[in-house]
Amino acid sequence: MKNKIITLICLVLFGATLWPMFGLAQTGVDNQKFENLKLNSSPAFVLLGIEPDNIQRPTSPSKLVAGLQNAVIDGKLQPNVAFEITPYLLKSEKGNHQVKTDNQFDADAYLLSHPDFIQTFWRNLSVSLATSPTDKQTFGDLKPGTGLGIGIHTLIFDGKPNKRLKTWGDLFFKWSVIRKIKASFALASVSQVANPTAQFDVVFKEIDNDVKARKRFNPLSDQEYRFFCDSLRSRVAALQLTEVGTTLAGLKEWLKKLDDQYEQAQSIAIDSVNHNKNPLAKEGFMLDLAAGKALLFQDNTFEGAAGAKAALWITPSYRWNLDQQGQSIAMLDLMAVARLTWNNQEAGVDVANYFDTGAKIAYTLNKFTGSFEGVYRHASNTPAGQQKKYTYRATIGLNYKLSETVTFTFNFGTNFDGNTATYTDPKQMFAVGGLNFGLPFIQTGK
Amino acid sequence: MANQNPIHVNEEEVLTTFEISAADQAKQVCITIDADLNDVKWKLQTDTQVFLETEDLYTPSSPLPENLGVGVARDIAGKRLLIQTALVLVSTVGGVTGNLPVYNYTLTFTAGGLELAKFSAKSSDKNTTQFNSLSKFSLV
Repeated sequence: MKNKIITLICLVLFGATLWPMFGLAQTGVDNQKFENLKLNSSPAFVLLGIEPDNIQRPTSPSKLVAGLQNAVIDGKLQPNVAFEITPYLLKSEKGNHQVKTDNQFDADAYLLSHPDFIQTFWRNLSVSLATSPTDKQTFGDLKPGTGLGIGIHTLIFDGKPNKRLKTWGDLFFKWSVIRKIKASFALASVSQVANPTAQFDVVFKEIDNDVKARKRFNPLSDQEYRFFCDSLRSRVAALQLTEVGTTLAGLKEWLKKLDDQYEQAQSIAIDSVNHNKNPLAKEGFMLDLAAGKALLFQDNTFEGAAGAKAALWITPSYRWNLDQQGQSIAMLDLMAVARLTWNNQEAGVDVANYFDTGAKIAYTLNKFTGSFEGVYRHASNTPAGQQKKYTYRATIGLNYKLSETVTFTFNFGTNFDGNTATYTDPKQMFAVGGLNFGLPFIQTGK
Repeated sequence: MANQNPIHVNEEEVLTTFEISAADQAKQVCITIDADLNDVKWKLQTDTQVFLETEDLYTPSSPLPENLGVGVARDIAGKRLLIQTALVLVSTVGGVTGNLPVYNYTLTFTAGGLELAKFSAKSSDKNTTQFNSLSKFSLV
C-alpha cells in the first residue's frame, strides 16, 4: 500500500512537471547555452544506477533538457530516457521584478554576486525524471522491471558573474545612479539646488531603499557602493558652485558630462560582453544540492511498484575561465561529491546503505568537453561471508555539442559493483553513449 | 486632438505640450513604456527615469513602467513630465559580429484606462539607445 501511494505521488509529480510544456508551445526558439545541455548526471539517472557521469558540475538551469542514451544493463545494450525541467523558467521571467517581458534582461540572475538565498534556491530548482530497464545487481532481490527515478536539485551557491559582465553591470548601475541624479535636477529651480549634495543623498537613500526592498538590483558590494557615493559627493563639493544663477547651469553641465562618460564606458563594456563567446557564463564556486528516489515496477506492472532507494548529495565545484579575452569557450572545472544512499533493505535491494565520495576534473574547449572522475563507495554493512566494504568507479567522459540544442555524450570506464554481494567480483567495464536535447521553446511574449 | 510625438532619440528632450480634454480632468493619467525587441538572441537592460517636476515617480528605474500613475489630470495640468529611458542590448549567445537588432520604443498615455496617445520611435543601430521626452500637461 505504501509503495502504491509513493508511486501515485510520483506519477502526479510527473504529470505536474509535464503540463507546463504544453502551455509553452507557441512560437520562437529559446536559445540553449553550451552548459545547459548536460543531463548526464541528473539525480534521476544516478538513482537508477545508469548515470554516464556520477559527478556533474552545477549548471545554469534550462527550461527543459531531455536525454536519450544507451547503457549496458545486465550485459545488454538498453535505451534510457530522462528529462529535467526548471519550474521557475517555465513560468516565464515576468515574475521577476526586474523583467516585465521576456525580452528584458534579468540582471538579478546574472549580475548579483550575493543574491538572495531563497531566490537562488527557487530559481535553480530542477525536477528530473528517468526510466530504464532495471539492473539485477543494482536492485538486489527485487524482480526485474522498469525503474523510475525522480530527482530534484538546486544551487545553494551559484557562482559569480564573469569579469566582463561584472564590469558592465557595475558601470550600468553607476550610470543609472547618475541618470537619476541628473533627472532629479533637470526640472529643478535655482532655489532647489542651494545644497546639491543633499539632493545627491536623497537619491542615494532612495536607491538604498529600493535595493533593500529588492525593487532594484545593485551589483556593487556595500563597500563599492559607499565608495562610489562618497566619490560623487566629494566631486560635486569640489565644483564650488556658489554663485546663484550659475549654480544650476553649472551643475547640469557637469552632470551631463558625467552622464556621457558613464554612457560611453558602459557601452564599450557591453560591446565587450556581446563579443564574448560565452557572455553570461558564471564562474567560481558553486554548490549543488540534490536528492532523489528510485522506484521499481517489478515485472513491468503497476502493482509491482516498490520503493528501492533514496539518496541525498552535495556537489561543490569551482570553475576557472581560461580565456579572459572571450575569443573561445575555454573552462576548467574541479568538482567533488558527497552522497548518502539509503537502500530498501526490507525489500532486499541491499543489506547496506552507501556513502560515496569522489572528485572530477573537466576541461571544456568550445564544443568539446573531456573529463575524468573517480568515486569511492563505502558500504555500511556486508552480507554474510563478504569482507569487502567498498567499491569504486572511474570513468572518462567526452561531450561534443552537435548544435545549439543537441549534445553527443560518451562515457567509458568501470562502474560501481552493483551491490555488496558482488564487491569481490572482477570489475566490469561499461560504455555509455547518447544524446541530450534542449527542446525548442517559444518566447511567451508579453 | 493630436499631440506631438515628444520622443527624442539620443538627443536632449525638448518641451512639448500634451493636451488632455477637460472631460478627462478627473481621471488618473498613466504611462506605459514598451520595447518590441523580438529576437531570442537579445535582451534589453532598461533604465527609466520619470519625474513630474522634481518628484521622482519611478524610483526603481527598472523594468519598463507599466500603467505608472502620473496623477489626476486636473492636478498635473501645468506641470512638466520628464521621461528618460536608456535601453541596452545584451546578447544571450555572444560572439556578436553583425548588425544589432532595431526595435520600436513606445510610450503610451492613458486616462482612466483609456488610451490618450501612443508615440513610437525606432532605436539606433548602437548597443545603447536613449529615448527622452518632456511634456507639459494642459487641459483643453
